[in-house]
Amino acid sequence: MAWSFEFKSGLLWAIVVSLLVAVAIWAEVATHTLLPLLIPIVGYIAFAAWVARIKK
Amino acid sequence: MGAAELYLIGLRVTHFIAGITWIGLLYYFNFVQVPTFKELDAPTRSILIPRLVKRVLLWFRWSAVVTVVAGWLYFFSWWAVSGYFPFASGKAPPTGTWDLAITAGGILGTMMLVNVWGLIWRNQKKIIAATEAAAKGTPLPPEMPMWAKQALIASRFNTVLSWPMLFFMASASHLAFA
Repeated sequence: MAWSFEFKSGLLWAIVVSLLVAVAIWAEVATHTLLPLLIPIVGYIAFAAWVARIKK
Repeated sequence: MGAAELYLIGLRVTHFIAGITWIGLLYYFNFVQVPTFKELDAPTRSILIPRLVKRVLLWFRWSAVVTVVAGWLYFFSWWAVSGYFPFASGKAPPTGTWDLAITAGGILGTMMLVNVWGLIWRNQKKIIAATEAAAKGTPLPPEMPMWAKQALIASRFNTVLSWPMLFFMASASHLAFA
């Protein structure tokens, strides 16, 4: 895979979302609820919204 | 072996086979097809897109659905077998290695499925339709590069996200970190 804009942005967002998943799992253990699992979902929605805004 | 065990084994095997199909095709797109298509001229691409790409995308998007549905069915069935019913029992969710690792992998995999249908396929089907229309003389729409770019970013994102996803999935049975 070339070090292109598409790869760099995909890599960056994937790292952010993966970190949010790790935080959510830690918070699930800390709070004893499933509610923190919404954290990475919000992160993913931000990614999808960002991609949808790309026009050219 | 009881019916419940057969059901769980069936789900697990389905999950594995569909998952290998899905991620294998994802890597094919990213490591083989995208660089190869850059080397091809437009007439050759217009032959391959409605035939090769259309067929690959059919297997790609439906294997993604089967993988995720079988995975979550297995997960919730296992919780039910263990006596935990989320949103109903009022108990704290299980926090063993298996539960946490599968939850992390499942969330990442589900995001990848949403990407497949919401970004990759949504843009690729427009590209396929435009390519088929172009073969009949209709000019290519100016939005085509935008569709390709959005689909490619989502595909790159899925490729990178598959690495932590597979790590967590494998960790559930092979790494005691909790």
